[in-house]
Amino acid sequence: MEKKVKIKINGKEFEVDSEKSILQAARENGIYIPAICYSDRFGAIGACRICAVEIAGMKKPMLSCAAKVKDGMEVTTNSPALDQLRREIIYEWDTFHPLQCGVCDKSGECELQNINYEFNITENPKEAQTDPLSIPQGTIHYEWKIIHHDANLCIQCRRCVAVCDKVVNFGILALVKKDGDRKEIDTKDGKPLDCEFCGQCVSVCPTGAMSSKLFKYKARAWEMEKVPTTCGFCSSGCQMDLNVKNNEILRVTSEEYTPNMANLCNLGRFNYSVSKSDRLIKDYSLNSKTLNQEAMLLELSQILKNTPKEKIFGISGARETHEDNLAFKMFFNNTLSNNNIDSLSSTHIGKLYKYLPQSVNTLYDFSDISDANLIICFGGDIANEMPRIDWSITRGAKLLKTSKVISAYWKDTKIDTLGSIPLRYEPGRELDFLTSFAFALKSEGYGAGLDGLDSLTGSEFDVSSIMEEVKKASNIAFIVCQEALERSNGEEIAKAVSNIALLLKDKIKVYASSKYNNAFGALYNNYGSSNEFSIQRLLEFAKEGKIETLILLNADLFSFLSDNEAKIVRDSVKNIVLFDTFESKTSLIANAIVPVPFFTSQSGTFINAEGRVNKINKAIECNVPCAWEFLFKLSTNLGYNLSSAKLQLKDKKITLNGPADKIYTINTNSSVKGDGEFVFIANYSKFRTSVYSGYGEGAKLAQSQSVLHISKEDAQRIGLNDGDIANIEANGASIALPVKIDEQMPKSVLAAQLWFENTNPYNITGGFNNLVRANLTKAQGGLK
Amino acid sequence: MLFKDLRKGLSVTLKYLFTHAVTCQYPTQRLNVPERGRWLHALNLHEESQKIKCIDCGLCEEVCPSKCIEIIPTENEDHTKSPAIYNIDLGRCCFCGLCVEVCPELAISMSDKYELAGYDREKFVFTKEDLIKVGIEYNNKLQKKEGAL
Repeated sequence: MEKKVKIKINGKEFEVDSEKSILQAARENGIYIPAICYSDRFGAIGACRICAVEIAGMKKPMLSCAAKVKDGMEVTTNSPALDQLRREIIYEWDTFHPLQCGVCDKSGECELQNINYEFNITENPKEAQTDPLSIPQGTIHYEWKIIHHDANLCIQCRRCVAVCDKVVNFGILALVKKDGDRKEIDTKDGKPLDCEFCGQCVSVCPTGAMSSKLFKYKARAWEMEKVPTTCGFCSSGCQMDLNVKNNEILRVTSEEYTPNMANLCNLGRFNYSVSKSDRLIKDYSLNSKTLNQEAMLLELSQILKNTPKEKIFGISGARETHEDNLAFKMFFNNTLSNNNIDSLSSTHIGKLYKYLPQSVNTLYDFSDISDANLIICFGGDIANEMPRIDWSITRGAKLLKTSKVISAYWKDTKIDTLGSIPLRYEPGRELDFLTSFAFALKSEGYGAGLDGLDSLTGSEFDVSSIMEEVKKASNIAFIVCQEALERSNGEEIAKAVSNIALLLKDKIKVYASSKYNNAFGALYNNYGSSNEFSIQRLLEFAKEGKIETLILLNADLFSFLSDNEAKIVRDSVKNIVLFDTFESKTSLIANAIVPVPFFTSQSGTFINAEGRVNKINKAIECNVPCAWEFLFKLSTNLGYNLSSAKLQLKDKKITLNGPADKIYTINTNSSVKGDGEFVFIANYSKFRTSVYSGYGEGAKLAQSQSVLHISKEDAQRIGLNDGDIANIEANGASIALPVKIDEQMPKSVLAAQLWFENTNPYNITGGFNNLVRANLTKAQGGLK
Repeated sequence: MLFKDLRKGLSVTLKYLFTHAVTCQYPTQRLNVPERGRWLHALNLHEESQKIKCIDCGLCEEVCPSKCIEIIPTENEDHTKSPAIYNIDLGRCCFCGLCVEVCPELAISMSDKYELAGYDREKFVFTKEDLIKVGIEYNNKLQKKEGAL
């Protein structure tokens, strides 16, 4: 356990952890030491030097952020000498810092302003001594996307460099030499910024040097009201504040005390303009006719009354609030007394938690990932699926240096730069890794006494490189990515993961990633529990004429089916009733459309991948009621009163039901659809979690269209260059995509991202599948 | 003394009969307003570039006790900031002059225009264009005055 030591700060004695720095120890005990460059998010940098303190026995002041506490240490945090030292530093920063606080977006929350105010600095002897003409002009990067950098305002604390490297693990920013001795923050290669555009650098910058272009000159810091809420773009459940002025979200910020430590990704931080998209659905409409709410309620209840109850089906998009999600389930189970309902979480995590035994299906906090000795990331590029898990891995492996990383995937990804042990399988051969791993665990004696151990068989896949680490580790975080679970053999993969979890029972924590923000809420509400109907059987049921009325709650058919399949559903279902926030291809074909407010316009809860029940708060007014209110009214019209008291969730953290401990037999005979020369994978971009997430400025600017990732070798062979349009053909369908040569792509593998408006990769893979063998040709006619 | 009070009173009356009248015959006649009087606001332009001085620092908006100033900023082509909309609702304004005092750019001042009555509440909202016009007129007047001196 952690050792405690006694130290004296300003004459008072404290007992603190020996691992802590003086600054941390002082802060914990309410003693203030000024610090500019330090943040718990990335640890000590030692650039600002303002946190220097005097330690008895030391000649020179020491940096309290970097110096660890020692037993018997005597620290003085304030003295005339220290004050002078700190003043000298501030004078240096202030020297010809442009006096544009009047227009600077940081003004009002600027740490340079604050520290000047704190030290009551009204004049600067350094500035008087300096020749104004000798001050070099810093670069202002107008050409960067989304992020604005003005080197003149920079005080070179290197926070942005640290956060980019140690939190985001992207490391594009550096303090680079410009002409002469001068240094400036810039990209390492000097090219315009091309990164994840997460804006972490903006969030840590103490001055206005790094700022958001989307927020530039929009409002002053003090004019906005901060509404705390939960991000609705993936199941990470990051806590953030919507900064609202005049009923409009102008920016998104987050605080360091949140579980996500103020870290937000591109979607969370910059994609707030989705909330005022011109594609918001505002009106109730029936067969393209606009109605008011009462008329719509009447018409809908008529439609539902005219449909036999067993012919009404429902699909939840797992993106609505917990309340909407539960009300939808209650509406089917109680009002319509059927269970013809499923959610989109059944396309991935639903499979896993169907098989994962109760004893290992606890949902753990992401902070536990950073504390694990060993992190196994399997089946996807986690940085693209859930950036917050990626940051947790980075924190454990790079910052705290407590974790080793194993990445099992078909491609090198960002987490491999953390010095991971790479395990590379061919795409579609996930089971090889999982079964081999389970077999190796069994051979090592794990899971002794479990029934069905004999059924475990290995494969040729070599996992010997990781067994040493697995044996050593006492605390393993096993992350299952959505991509693997979305494969057509996702159920077998889920079973294989369950086996591993059970074998490593006492030391494993299983995490699953989901791009659907309330996917875990849908699991909690027992979606996917029907024995007859599941979302995978939607097409089959529709073709057989079993569905007369299909109700979709925030579920865009084209975001999980191919265009063709969606058309079949459309043609074979009489009424499609869509509850949705945004216009989509589905809203064009639906008979009845009921608007639902965006998460920024309603209060409720989301359940994230940690099982936490996170609150969302209404930040902007809209005159559309929540889906649950509408459903309750509809239910009353149909003669059944639903009780809103049931919607309230009292727990702070949920648990899921799972089966009893069981070793599953895995069917490894999976065949990949199609017979092309390439393997095509539909995976995810970190800039989309749904089609509508592309309606916001931040995501659109970061990545405007889906691109085809291809290895250099393959591209050369076919004669493709960056930006050329390529046709990918499989299953008798084809899609056209611009090409991006990606050095990390293996040979004969192609990948394109889902949920972009330029194409629907499900057209060639088919729904509920993301892998297909395909042929690739260069599109004739060159660029479009 | 007989009729002492009457005589005293009459003398005052008689004196005023022959002195100059103090009543200003408004509206045919107008008083000169004091130089530092707080009347209608004016937005000022830079003399050379004829661009608005206001940089939308938002201080007047913040300091205004009756919250009658509304500014919506915009970014110009040269990356400077200026107001796209600058409204003062005189129906709410209490003419305290704090906005003038707080302005770091001397962009807002007060003119000598005091006749602000109207029949329509909406017309009390003075826009950026209105206020700039006031500024130009008032500054021209001041210049003329200086020239005359």
